[in-house]
Amino acid sequence: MTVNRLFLRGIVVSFFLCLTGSLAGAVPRTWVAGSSTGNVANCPRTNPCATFAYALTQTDPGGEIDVLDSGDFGGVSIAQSVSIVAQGVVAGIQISGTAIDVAAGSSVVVVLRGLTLDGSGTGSAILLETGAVLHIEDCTINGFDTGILVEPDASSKVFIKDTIVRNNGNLGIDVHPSSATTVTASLDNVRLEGNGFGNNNLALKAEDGTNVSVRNSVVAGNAFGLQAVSSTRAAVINLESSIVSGNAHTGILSEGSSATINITNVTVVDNSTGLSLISGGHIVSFGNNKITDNTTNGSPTKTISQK
Amino acid sequence: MTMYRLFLRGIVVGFFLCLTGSIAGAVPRTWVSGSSTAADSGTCPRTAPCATFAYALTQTDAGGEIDALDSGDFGLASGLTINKSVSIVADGVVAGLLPTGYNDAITVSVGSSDVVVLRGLTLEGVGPGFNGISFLGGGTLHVENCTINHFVSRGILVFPNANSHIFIKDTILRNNTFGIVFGFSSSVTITASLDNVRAENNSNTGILAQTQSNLTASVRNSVVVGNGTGVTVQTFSSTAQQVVNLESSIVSDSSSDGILSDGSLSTINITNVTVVKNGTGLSATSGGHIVSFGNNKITDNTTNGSPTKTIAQH
Repeated sequence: MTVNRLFLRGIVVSFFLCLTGSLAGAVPRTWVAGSSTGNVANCPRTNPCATFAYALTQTDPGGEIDVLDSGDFGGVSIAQSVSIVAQGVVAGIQISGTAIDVAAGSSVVVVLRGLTLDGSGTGSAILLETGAVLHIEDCTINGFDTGILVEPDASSKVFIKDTIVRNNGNLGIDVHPSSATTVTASLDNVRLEGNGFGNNNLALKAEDGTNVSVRNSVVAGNAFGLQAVSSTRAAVINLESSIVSGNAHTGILSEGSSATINITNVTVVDNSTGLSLISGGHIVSFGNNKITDNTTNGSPTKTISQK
Repeated sequence: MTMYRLFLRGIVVGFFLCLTGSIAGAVPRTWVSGSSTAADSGTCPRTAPCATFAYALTQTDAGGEIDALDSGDFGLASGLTINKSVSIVADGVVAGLLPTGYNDAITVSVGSSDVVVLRGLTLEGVGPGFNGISFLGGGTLHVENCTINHFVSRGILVFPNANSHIFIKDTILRNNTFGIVFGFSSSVTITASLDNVRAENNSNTGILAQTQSNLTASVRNSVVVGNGTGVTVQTFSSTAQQVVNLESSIVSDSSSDGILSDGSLSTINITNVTVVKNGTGLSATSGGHIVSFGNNKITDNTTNGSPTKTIAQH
């Protein structure tokens, strides 16, 4: 009897510990899998969870959610530092509306790596609403209203690498900080393809308070290519070692007197208009761009020397 | 009967050899797995993979290879110390290390003729980890296709006490205090090649050379963006030359200097480099050298700055 009671007491205590452990939260590394049998506390490697949203509740701020095997892991709203990492699998979110909503603080760091985000013409694959440092790597984004919508209410940094943004009806990427905030964005090896046809819009739009560097990238076959547009504050795009081709309307468009697009080692071909200026916008060349075979080629407003 | 006893004796001896063989050592290829059945015992064959890199390393021949069979966390809270030539290879899986208690994720401390390859690893410093990779001995280190995120100190620290060759390719260093540091060490020679490396949002410096050794580093097709300072070469000895060749790369959005060469033994050669949206684009102080080939794009910095010398391309 005594032994039996001790045993029962042990069960109660361990059950309590287990409960409090899982309520209190969180471990540095959690797992999701398409083969998951359900969401369980702490999402361990041996019992991975089914959704990013649940796994996030079990992950320490600054921790990592890893994808064990291929699956659809559902939309998620992120309000803490976290890395979501998939390699060698299809880590999908197929959704009507917005897939990943980053609504965090400006000290929050979010990494999204290796995701396949598929929309149905509405919402965004990735929406940055509040300030953060956001890294998007190795993702494909297809068929949303706007692929990546960066409209934070606090200053933010966005890094996009090795990512394809295609077939979004409104905008491929829109960098659109609210008033008095700034966003710096760095794009490297990004492909923007077939965007803007639902709304006669752009592959990439940089609005007031933005500084966007685009490198080693392709802007091809969109309604419009890329635009810096300024009404009151500076909007700058630095475009280098990239191609802007086959866009139905303008390839590179600078609008407003505080809008500047610097171009170096850029090829602009087969667009309706290559370079276009509206309302005093600037396009600054380093004299090393290849602009030909557009219906109207257009010209930079200034050429400055290399050093 | 005699034959039978000989046969039995043979079996015993053979079994003993087999046992001692497996205890003493080591095989050329070992495996790790995140699966629940993975355990640190035996020689980590493909059919019975081990759970940690640290144990697998003890079962791997010098010069052998540890492979990740599927995704998992293969680290220990105390980190992994590599003390011999080895390749650790992960492809198409998440091969994670997440040290805790201010430990380094990986410490490489090998001899000057040893070669270590780290490929396809995901290092996360939330633990909090101190450095992602510390290279302390000598020899050759290859870092390929790794991500190193959120370490309290450096993503990669190169701090050798013997001549060293460092190769870093297709690797992202983000959200650390420093991306990569070539640190104190004296009277040795370090060569380094960085290709398709991204140093992003490291709060102090993206790439920092600050050694008492002779350093030649080439950085190519790389992005140094959103750091405190982008690339710094700082003279730290009266004899050691430090030269960084930076080509076909971008240095942008540094809150302080984009490219800083400080001290008369510091040289940064720049060719086909874009330097934009930094505090000061090019900064040469205390006799530091920034040598241009006349083909760099330096604009839209608060202060653009200038190279100290331009030499002709041939």
